[in-house]
Amino acid sequence: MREMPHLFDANVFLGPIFLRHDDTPDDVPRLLAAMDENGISRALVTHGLAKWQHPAVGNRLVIQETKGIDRLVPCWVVMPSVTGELPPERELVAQLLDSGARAARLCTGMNRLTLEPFEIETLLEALAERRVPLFLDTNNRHWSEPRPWAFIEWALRTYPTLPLVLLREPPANYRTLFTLMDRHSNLYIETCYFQGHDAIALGAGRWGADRLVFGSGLPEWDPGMAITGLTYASFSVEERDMVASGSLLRLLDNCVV
Amino acid sequence: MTQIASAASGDTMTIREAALRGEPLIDTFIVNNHSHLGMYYGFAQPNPDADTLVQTMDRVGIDQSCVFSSLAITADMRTGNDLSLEAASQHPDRILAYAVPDPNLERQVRDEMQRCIDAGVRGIKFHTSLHDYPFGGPGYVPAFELADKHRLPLISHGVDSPDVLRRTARSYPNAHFIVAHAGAGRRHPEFDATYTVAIEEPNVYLDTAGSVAPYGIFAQLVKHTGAGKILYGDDFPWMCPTHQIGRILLAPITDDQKKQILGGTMQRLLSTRQ
Ligand SMILES: [Zn+2]
Repeated sequence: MREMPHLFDANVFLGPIFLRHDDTPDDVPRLLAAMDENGISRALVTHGLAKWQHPAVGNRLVIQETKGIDRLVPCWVVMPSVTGELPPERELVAQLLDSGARAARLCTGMNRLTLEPFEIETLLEALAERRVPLFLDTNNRHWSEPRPWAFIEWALRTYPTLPLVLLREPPANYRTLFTLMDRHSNLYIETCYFQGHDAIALGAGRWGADRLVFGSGLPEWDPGMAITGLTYASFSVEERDMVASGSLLRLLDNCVV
Repeated sequence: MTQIASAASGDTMTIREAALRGEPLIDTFIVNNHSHLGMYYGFAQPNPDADTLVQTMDRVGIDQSCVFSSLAITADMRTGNDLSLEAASQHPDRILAYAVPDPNLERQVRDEMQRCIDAGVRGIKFHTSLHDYPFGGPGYVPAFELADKHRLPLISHGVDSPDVLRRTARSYPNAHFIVAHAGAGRRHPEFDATYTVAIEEPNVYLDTAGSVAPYGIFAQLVKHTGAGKILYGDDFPWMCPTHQIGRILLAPITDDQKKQILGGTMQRLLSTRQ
């Protein structure tokens, strides 16, 4: 009988999220209970209010609320500092690492970012210097929504030490995505929405299992599909375990602290 | 909660435990009521063939898949239906072919549906949005009549409106109407009239295929309509069965409810064929 994988979920929100309902876990105890129900042992968590109110609020809360809880690793939402909403980029990244966070999330549409180099290059440079993995959150629900491919290609090429993880990467973009995955070893796929036919195993075979990162989207999204998409994929237990937790651990350990 | 046996050890484990381990669900009869086959222009779909589908079904423990080729729901009904029939003949009892009418070819629909029924199809599939044709339009009438006469499942992507669905279900009471994608769940099911029709009409069901799964919504739907109204579908190869089935396997519902959704009800709907 196969052992259950140790699931380290790269895509989880803590606290209130937009359009939640009575059953949505919205604090630490309820989130941990939902993780237990779904066999998720650890999670990289962004605070809901960092996305749905403001990073200055949510980044502080995620550190406070995860303090002393090994199962929850904090992730900050980042954006340019020019308006004074957040500290200057290098300082922001230093604070992120000092606080114990080990990853950053860029909420492109929610924060009305154009992703033009003039807007975003200082931030990406600061993250790349410390090799803080950047999770790209376009807030997409569906597979047919557009992705900022020109930005993604530019960022990968310009900042080869910056790991870029595509959250909720849909199954309909392979004609574009495969070229970038072939060319750029700093591009990673979070698997919750990567549901082309056996695509997780196909991707592991083509690029290596360490380029795929398990995530669920909990508690905005149901983790069931993300989990069985991994557990029933046609690859070895070693590859499964790399996607389940190994890839994310490597990314977080690779930060220059 | 009921238990299922594990192939490897003879121990029993719940459906949830089997899913978390990636063990095939060998003791649960599973029918996927919604899948396609073949290449599609719109986006790259890896390994969309019947042989690989059956391999994936074996890995998960899916016993049967109802297929309607992607060609049949797009440019060529007749060649597309032949693809589905051919796959079924190569994988008897695993792949069940459905007939797809293209209602824009109004003069050909009746003969094509009859041809497919003579060739042994197990159900009928409409794609009202790709074929850009209303569910209640005259081009679909021969398919309704034959589904009623032969007591077949009829799954439709698009049903115009809850009222049209109700009227049609009552006009053809021996056909089993399945609303594609509606069983994936929607926010606030209590306000959704399609679900009211499914609850009230004995021959209306909901298919679970759907790429999107907001947290907790599926369990709310099961509570609202009852598990007996919901049928597992995965929309292979537009989506992957390994993902799609997780919505059910890890839902906070009982194993008996899961078994009904996974295949118990669909087995009954397939058995009425005359
Ligand atoms: Zn479909």
